[in-house]
Amino acid sequence: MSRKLWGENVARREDIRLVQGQGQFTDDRVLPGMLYAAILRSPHAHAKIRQIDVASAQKMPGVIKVYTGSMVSGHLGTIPTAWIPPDSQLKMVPHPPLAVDRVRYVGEAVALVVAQDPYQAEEALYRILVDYEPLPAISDPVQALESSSPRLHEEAPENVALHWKVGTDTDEVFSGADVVVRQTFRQQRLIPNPMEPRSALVQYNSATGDMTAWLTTQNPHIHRFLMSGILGIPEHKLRVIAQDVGGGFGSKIACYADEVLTAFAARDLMRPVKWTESRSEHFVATTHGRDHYDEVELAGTKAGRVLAVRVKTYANMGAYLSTAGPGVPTILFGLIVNGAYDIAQASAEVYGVFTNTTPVDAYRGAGRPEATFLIERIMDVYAREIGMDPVELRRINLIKKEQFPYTNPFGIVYDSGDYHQTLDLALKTLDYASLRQEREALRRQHKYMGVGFSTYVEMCGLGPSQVAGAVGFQGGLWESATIRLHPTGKATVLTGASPHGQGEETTFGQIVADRLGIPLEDIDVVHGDTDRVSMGWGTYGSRSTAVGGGALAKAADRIVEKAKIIAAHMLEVPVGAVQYDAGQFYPEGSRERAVGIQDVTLQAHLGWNLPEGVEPGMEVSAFYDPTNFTYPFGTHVAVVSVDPDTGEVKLLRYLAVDDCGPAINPMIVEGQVHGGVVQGVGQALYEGAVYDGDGQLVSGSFMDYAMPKARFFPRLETQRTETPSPHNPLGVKGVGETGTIASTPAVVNAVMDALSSFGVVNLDMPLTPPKVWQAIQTSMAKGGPS
Amino acid sequence: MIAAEIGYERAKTIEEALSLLSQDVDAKLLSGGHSLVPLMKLRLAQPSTLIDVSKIPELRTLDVESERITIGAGVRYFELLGDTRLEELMPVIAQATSVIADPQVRHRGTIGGAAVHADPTSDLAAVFLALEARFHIRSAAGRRIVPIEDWYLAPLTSALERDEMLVAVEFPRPIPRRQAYVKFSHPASGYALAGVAAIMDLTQHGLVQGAGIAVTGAATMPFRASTAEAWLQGRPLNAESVAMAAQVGADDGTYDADDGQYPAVYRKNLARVMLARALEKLAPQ
Ligand SMILES: Cc1cc2nc3c(=O)[nH]c(=O)nc-3n(C[C@H](O)[C@H](O)[C@H](O)COP(=O)(O)OP(=O)(O)OC[C@H]3O[C@@H](n4cnc5c(N)ncnc54)[C@H](O)[C@@H]3O)c2cc1C
Repeated sequence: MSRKLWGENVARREDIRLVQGQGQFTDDRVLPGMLYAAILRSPHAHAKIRQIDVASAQKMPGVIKVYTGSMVSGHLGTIPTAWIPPDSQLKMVPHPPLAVDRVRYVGEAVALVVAQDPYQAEEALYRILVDYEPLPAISDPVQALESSSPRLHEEAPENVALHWKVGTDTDEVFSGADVVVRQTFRQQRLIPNPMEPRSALVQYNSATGDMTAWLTTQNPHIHRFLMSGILGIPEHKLRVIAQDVGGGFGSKIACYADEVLTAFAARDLMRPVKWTESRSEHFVATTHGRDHYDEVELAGTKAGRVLAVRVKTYANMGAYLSTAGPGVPTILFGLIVNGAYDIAQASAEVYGVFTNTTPVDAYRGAGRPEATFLIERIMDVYAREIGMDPVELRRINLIKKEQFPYTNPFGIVYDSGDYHQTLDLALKTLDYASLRQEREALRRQHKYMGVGFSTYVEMCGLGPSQVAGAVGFQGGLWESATIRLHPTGKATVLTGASPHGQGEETTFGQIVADRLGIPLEDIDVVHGDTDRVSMGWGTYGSRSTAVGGGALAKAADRIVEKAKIIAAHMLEVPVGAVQYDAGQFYPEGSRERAVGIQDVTLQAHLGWNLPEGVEPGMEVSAFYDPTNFTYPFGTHVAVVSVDPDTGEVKLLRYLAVDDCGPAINPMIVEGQVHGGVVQGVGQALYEGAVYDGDGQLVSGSFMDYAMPKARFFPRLETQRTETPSPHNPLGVKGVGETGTIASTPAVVNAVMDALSSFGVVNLDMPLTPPKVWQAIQTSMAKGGPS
Repeated sequence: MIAAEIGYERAKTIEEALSLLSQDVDAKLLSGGHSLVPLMKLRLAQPSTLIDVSKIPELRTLDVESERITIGAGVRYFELLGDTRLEELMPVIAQATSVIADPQVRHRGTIGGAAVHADPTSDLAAVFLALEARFHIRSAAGRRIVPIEDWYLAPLTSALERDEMLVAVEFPRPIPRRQAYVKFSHPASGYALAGVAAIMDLTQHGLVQGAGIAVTGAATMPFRASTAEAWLQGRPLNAESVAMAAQVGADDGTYDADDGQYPAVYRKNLARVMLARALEKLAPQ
């Protein structure tokens, strides 16, 4: 089959409306008679609610109604979690949409005001009088386990939300190993901050019982599924629309109290109600990411062969279990802590802990960045211990090309790869040998440069539904696609994936254009509307192209199959004698007689003369369930300088060599890598949510919470190799998260390399100037660089 | 994050603004709004009425005379950047202004707003101190001039009284020729963790004369590094003298602002490093 658009840098079709300001984001939408909601949030991390007095708020101009927890609790279900990892003793604690008698984190919803305009709604919040009785609070997951720490939930007397173990018995290897290195790591809490804050607009028709909810969601069908249960609205009566969504990074997976409350008010008041989060609210009310303490041990030989890794993790879950929260530090993390290395024995033990903080859920990479960070960092610690170049160490331990499919110690089967090839390409691109020489030369002038590697693999393209069930995800992970060819041969393509910045309107168009030989301009890709699109599971876990694209390929093939029968009839030859290429059907050897797929489609719609037994019309759906995850991999390298006077780290070069299988649109792949890398570097150097002892979020605005900014970065260099995945019809692997997964340890490894002459082995992220400077000072006090 | 309801008046003249200000004790002047409006959204400021002074022509003037340069309080940052006379006579103000935030902020923010807001991390604070700015003030009752020594009273508090208005900032001439502003930005806010303005002349023998050196951001209050200025007077500017001046200059500040992430010892070190870097820029090549 000719591949006309596959591999082409087709400009993103979605950008035209976005750059012209004609996107349709939830908050853009205005409905007649619409009311505005605002939410009062707890200023306390932990408190009893003695009383809520809404009388004066209720009398404020424009206020329609003020709701409290006790008013809604009988009418609304609780906010559920949808991931129950097996054998994790998960404590399913109740999470009421509005707090009733107790609040457990700063930002928890306490009351809802609905008013004529957003100003009136906000103003009324200041008039609600809540009598709180503050309780001691705890924000650190390790301290929360101490017996003297305050308890959050009766159902979890130890504050333990889950306790989960996986892997092989590593004790014997560790006790017999020549070299054992140990290191504790802190993977700090991050605040997602997509460009668009969350928003909900809900309309209810009391006559028909139909509800329409415009939501900022990455998975409209999951939202419909969960909200229908919470609200008691039958699924077929609830329509969820997510047209344009301005980024999610995992924070728009969860079903939130705010959305449910907005829907509740719309039904109760029989008027459309809109709620939109402010940026300040986003900091406390939208799920956070990461937040681990990890103890990592590695056993190996003096010659650099890794024998075993062992991880013990304390993961902060926040005050309640978010929708996918429990799956993140367990399934998406523990099963891949051996990384890209051929390690015979590995184990992970995870405590998920309740604290008085915002709930934690998926954040770009979700579990896999945490796992990758640990293995990539401990590899460098090991390399230093045995005096080996970290590149050499990686070369020895990387899974070899001939070992695929490779079963890791947790029973996960890596699909395909040539890990050494990406490493070699990276070394060649960088001229590693001369970089190392430069580093030595600079050191003699008391200048500090470092090079850091991350040879990662990750598990994405979530995923086979059977596995989803086995790991406790309360849903399927297949994907749906519908291709609807109209009489004129134009196509509407409907996908159950729900892109929100990733560019699938373009890449999916490219797939269909190629398979059906229809011009891209004749194809529209529709997503994010539960009434138009068949059941699907949405966009997260780098799954849309691998799984949604798989469904699409399957649907396109079915279209061709049907069209071929009609074409044979039109050509008056047996079906077996019809050739198909790029939208053209023709009898074997006589291309000049070809009929085009768009003509065939017209005939299918007219139905005047169809072959025996063929139904009219040209529309097919496909549901595709992959046989496995996909495993993109690569080598990322960071080159940094450290200013010893200020402690400032500068990124001098960044090279990403990734293999996500064949790239449908290399420009879009590169864009995903750029964004991902920047987010991962954000964790390494800049970002970090800080709670004080009382559970107050100290870093609650952009004044304190440092997002990575364009001026912090050099031009990012990208390269690719292409190893197809045998697990899906397109051979593609996910690439939405690889940058974030790979870059954090690459940068930290580079900084540790730069600081190696000061004897610094590890520093906690983010590697801020004062932290780095302090480490250098401490070393200076002991005699300075070696 | 929505401000409380407020009244709004646009003043056409200084007199009108002052009369409105004297009638309402809870009114506040609005210039570029880039400090005041964020505070109002957080409800840390809740003025009854905003008196918009941004359209008063007298506040938007820039006079260069032989004895002084006088910049109207309403002159916006970007206007300081484009002025060829300033470029020639006090390039340090353009250097400092060019690293304030981003183009949006620089097109709204004003020199007067920055002075009155008295943010201890304001970039222009270092320039005001190093160049010994004088603040021209008016109220319904009269006029006065406040010298820089008396201007900054506490973080976010200037010497301005409630019913007063800043009309202009004056920089006495002559201004030493060698000028530099260097800044180490907070990675989140972009404000100065340490900003240093330094000016001086060098005699034909290369000896320092009339140095004005000031630090913003690092300490509790922006401060003048007087000890460094005095120490440098009459000395050559070289690696040793720069290091010494930076050391003693950093000691001139009081560092009790411990915000956890940026502890006082670090801030003081940063003041020293940035002092050295500013002075290095002034050294002959
Ligand atoms: C995103 C952002 C980033 C920023 N980054 C920086 C930075 O890096 N460095 C930096 O130095 N600053 C920074 N700022 C602050 C900026 O410089 C402000 O604009 C400036 O501090 C205030 O000037 P304004 O004209 O906007 O004052 P306004 O906000 O209008 O007023 C500030 C205060 O001064 C009073 N006032 C204004 N004019 C007069 C007058 N003529 N007489 C009496 N009182 C008056 C007001 O009543 C108010 O109390 C930043 C601001 C923002 C929003």
